[in-house]
Formats: sequence, structure tokens, C-alpha cells
Amino acid sequence: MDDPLAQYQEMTQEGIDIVARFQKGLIKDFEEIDRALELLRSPPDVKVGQTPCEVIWEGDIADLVRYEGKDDEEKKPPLLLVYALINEPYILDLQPGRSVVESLLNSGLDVYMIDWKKPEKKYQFETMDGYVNHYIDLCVDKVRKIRNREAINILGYCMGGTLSAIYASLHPEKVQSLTLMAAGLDFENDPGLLKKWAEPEYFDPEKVVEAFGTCPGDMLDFSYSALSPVDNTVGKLLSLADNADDEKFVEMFFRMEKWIHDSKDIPGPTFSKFVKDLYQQNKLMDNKLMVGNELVDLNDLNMPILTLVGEYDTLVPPESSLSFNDAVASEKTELMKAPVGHIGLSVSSKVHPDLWKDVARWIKDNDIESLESIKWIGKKSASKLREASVKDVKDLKSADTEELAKKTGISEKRIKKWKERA
Amino acid sequence: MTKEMEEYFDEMTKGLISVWEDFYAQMDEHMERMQEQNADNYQKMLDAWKDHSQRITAEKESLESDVHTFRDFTETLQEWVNASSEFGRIMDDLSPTDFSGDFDDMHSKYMENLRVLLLKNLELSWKKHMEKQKELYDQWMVDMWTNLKDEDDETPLGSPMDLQDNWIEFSKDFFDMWEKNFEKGEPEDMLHDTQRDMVRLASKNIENILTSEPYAMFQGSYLDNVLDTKITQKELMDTYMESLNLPSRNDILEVYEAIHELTSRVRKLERKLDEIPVDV
Repeated sequence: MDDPLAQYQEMTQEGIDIVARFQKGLIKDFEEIDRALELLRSPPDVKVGQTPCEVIWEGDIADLVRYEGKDDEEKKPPLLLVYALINEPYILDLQPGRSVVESLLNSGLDVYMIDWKKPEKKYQFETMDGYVNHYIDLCVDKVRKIRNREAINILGYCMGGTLSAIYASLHPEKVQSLTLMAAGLDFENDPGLLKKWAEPEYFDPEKVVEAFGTCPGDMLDFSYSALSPVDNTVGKLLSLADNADDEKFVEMFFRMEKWIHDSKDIPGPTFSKFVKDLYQQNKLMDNKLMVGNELVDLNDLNMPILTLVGEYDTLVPPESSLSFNDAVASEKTELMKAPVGHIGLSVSSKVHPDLWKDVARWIKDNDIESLESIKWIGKKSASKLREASVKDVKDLKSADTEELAKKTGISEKRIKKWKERA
Repeated sequence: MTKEMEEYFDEMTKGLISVWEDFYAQMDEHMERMQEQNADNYQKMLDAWKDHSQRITAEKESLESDVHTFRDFTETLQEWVNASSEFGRIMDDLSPTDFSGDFDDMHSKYMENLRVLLLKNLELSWKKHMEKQKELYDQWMVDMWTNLKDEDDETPLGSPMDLQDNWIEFSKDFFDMWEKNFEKGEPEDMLHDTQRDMVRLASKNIENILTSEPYAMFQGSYLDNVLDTKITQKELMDTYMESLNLPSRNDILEVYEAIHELTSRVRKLERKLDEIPVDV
């Protein structure tokens, strides 16, 4: 057995050490929290939306931008991103390496985005009809014209996804494929808190509009924070305290903070209709939604549709998207899931670059230009070409002119002209 | 240091000396047995034991100073917890008789007592804090609800009893968590881990409240009140503007609305014009 006195001294020392170590931990914790508070008081200047782009159309409450790819944009499938009316679209281009825009460009797409502006007071009466049938339609037409295409690919995020689905139903001929990212579609099955709080017995959107004219961005900001109040206050601070010396973490943290508080108002009639017709009455899924005197019918959604959900999304829970693919007329639908939340779909390292490569591949695979999109190919000629196994523009380009002329009975001269146009 | 504590340390010192004396006696017996079993090594071991024994005797004399070291430590601890009366009471609970038996046993009892001591003090400080928080929380809930509903109604988060139960459950979970961290964790990480656990616990607790029907009802009625106030303010301002023969906010909005309607019609016409092929 060891020296008993030494044992006594050792155990006494051990006790002192425990207290000293506890105190050390205590001081370290306070120092870290102080550092986090200091960072919150004087946040570092962070850059967002760094992918080069050009404003190709400037409107009153929206701009249309085109991102600069590396080369040969004209040969790449065009994709229009329809962002939500909430906060700013740079969440899709938050930082290099975690940018949806960058991933899509690198995967060979020609990327455009509708950048909704903060609406001035005079636009507080803007309706859902105005957003869908004027602004989105106008931007789609601009891209179609630039790319000389009958139809383009659309990707809508969050509320922008809902508006995109409505748009595609009303203008299916202009939509080549539709990707819906974390989009609220089926509100009947939405188990989230926002849906619960928006129930008609608790919430009247008309009253918000009566009081403010719009739904104020600050009110939306507060509502989102209130979904998880502890994590969004204390939890966030402690997470910053734990990583205050990690430069990359701090930069990402403040990029997110910048975006979270960069809110904007939603015009009254649009907000009110969105809450009443969609959240409260689920009219989109029930084929009862009217926009601009037209019925939004999911049976008109015949283009390829990709639904993209974040498995841990609490804002737009997966359940509010999952049944959509079964409700549409399209025979080509796909669902992709990622183990992230609502914002994680845009910025998480778990989705970059793999998930977005998959999304881009799906869009490219479904970017099939119809034969009728070529000038002077009518229904009859298209039918003859299809009988000869030429199903789309791509097939036409690669077909042997002489052989095709023999198979279809169409003159070589006409086929050559079509190929030139193609 | 209190008189009781002085007495306690003296008792403990006596207890320790007695244990050591027993220990030496046991060692002597052991040596004798060793001599029988291994005569060759006996002399070497005896010499070693003699040296050891002399050193122990010398160190034994400095026991008093070691007791002072222990007292210093205790005083530091006492200062740290800053709760002298509770501290004395807790120390009374720790009987010196715990320090009997062999050293391993004594060591583990000592560490256990130290753990209990720290834990109890932290609990006491925390309980005081929680009681104060609870008082403020209850008052806050009552104030908030009184502004919205009759006093006889339940609070938005359930009945006062529900609130009480909710709070007690939260405190219990918190102490369980604290104790678990104390047992498994390193002292440096105790506060850190507890803070994180507390955030998780509070999140879960708050989540239960937020998803409840009464909360949705409360939030709805709270928002209603805010909006009613805002609408009333607007109406008052309109009346005031009208009294000055100036256009009211509503008048201005009507103009904006009319402009918007006109703009919508114009842009629809523009779109129709866009659709007409240029070469027609």
C-alpha cells in the first residue's frame, strides 16, 4: 500500500484541483460568452451574393438577373430561379462553396433569378395575380426571348415555389420543367407551427393588412424566431461562443444573421390571399384556387416536376410537399430529400455540391426541346418525325438528313432548314 | 471559520491519525508475515520499512500544517459558494465518522462528501435563483393574462396549477441534468455542458408550450389586441386629419389603390401588345 500521508495530501490536492478546474471552466465560459457578445456588438463585415451577375431587366418591384457562367451559355439549359417574397434572394448565393447559384452554374446551367425588391408604399396593393401573371410571366418571357425557347426550366424556393407551381399551372406551355424547393403546397397535411398559428380561429390576415397595409417584414422575422425561441436566442449565442475563434464559422454565422434580419414587407392582398386561400383553405391542392379570374388546376401541370424537401424543415415541413407529385397530371415526377432544414437546403455543406449536382442533372435530363419549338415544324411534320424515332430537337440535330427524308417522305431541303434552325 | 467547523477539523484530524496508527500496526504485522515467508528479502524490506517509517514519522509531525492547507482550501470553497450559513449546516451533516476504515474507503468517502458538498451548494444557489425566477415568471404570466382576459379564466398556458407543474418538472429535469453532468463530466466542462443541456431542455419545454392549443389561442388574442390598438390609432389619426380638413390616411391609400388598379390594367394591355407578333 502507498504512503498514507501522501495519500491524504493527494486527496486533499485532488479536492482543491476539482474546485480550481471548475473555476477555470467557469472563467473560460464567461470569456467565450463575452467574446460572442463583443462579436454581436461589432459584427464583422461579410460579403454575400458574390457570383457575378448582370441585371437584364429592371422593374418596379422586381429585377431579372442573369448569372455569369464560364462559357457557352447559349448551349446550356436555361433555368429561372423564382425566389420567395420573404427576405433577400442572396441566401441562394450566400458564400462561395455553399451557393446554389454557383453549384448550378458549375453543373452546366444558364441561371437567371427574379430578385424581388423591397416594395415601396405604392406597391402595397400588389396582388398574387400581379406577381404570377405579370412579374413572373414577364421574366419567363424575357428569358424565353433571350434563349429563343418556347419553354424554360423553373426552380421556385419556399413561397417562390408555391408561386411557381401556380404559374406553371396557368402557363404550362412556357415551363419545360418545374423544380419545387421547400415549397408549401399541401397545407392540409402541414404539421408545422406556422400552419397551426395561422388557423382561422386564431389568426385573421385581413386584420394585419387593415392595420399595416402590408404584412411587415419585422413581423415575419419575429414569427420565424418564435418558432424556436430558445435556440434562436440563447442557443445561437452559445453556439457563437463555442466557435468564436473559428473564422469560417464566424463569417458564416454573420452571413446568416445578415440574411435573417434582412426582411421585407409582403403586399397586403398577396399576403392575405396566401394565408386565407392556401394556409387556411388549402385551395391549391383542392383545385379551387383562383388567380386573376383563372382556376389553378393541377391537372394542367404536365411538365416534369422535381420536389425537393429538407427532412428537418420546420418552416415548410416535408409533409406539405410530399403529396404534391401524386396530385399533378405529370407522369414524370421525382422527389429528392436531404437531411437538412429549410435554410440548410441552400447553405448546408451537406447539400453542396452533391445534391445540387443531382438537381442540375435532373434539370438537364428533362430539358428536352419539343420539335414544335422549331419554326415551321407544325403538328403534322412533328408527328412524321416522331414516327421516324426523332422525338425532340436533340434527335433532329443528330439525325442523318438523307435517311430521315426517306423515312418521313419530307424533302431533304426542308429537313436541312429545320436542322439549321435547331 | 465557525467554531463548529474548527471542532470538526480537529475531530477529523484525530480520526485520520487513528487510522494511520492502525495502518502502521497492520504493516508491522504484514512485515512479520513476510519475514516468515521470505527470509532472504526480510532484511532489505526491513531496512526499507525503517527508512519509510522514519520519513512518515517526520511527516506526521507536519500534520498540523497540512490541516492548515485543508482549512485554506475549505475557506476558499466557502468563499466561492458565498453561503456561509448553509455551508456550516451542510458541513454539520458530514459526520467525521465517515473518515474511518481503510484509506481507499476513506478516500472515496471523502471525494463523495466533497461532491455532495459542492452539489448541495450549487443547488442551494440555483434554487434561490429559480425561486426568484419563478416568482417573476408567475407574476409576468398573471400580469399579461389580466390585461387580456378576466381574472377567473385560465392563463394562456393552462391553469395556474399546470404552470406550477410545468415549472416544477422543468426544475427537476434541470437538477437531474446537473447531477448527471457532475458525475460524468470533467469539472472544466461542467458549466459548459450544463448550459448546453439547459438550452436543449428549455427548447423542449418551450416547444411543448408553443405547440399547445392554449398558446395558439393566446398568441391569436395577443396579436388581435396589438392590431386593434394599431387600427384604433389609425382611426384617431384619420379623425384628427379630417378635423383639420386635410386628407386622411385612408384618402391617401384610396388614391394609391386607384393608381395601382390603373397600373395593373395598363401593364395587362402592354403584355397583350407584347404578344402581337411584330411581323404581322
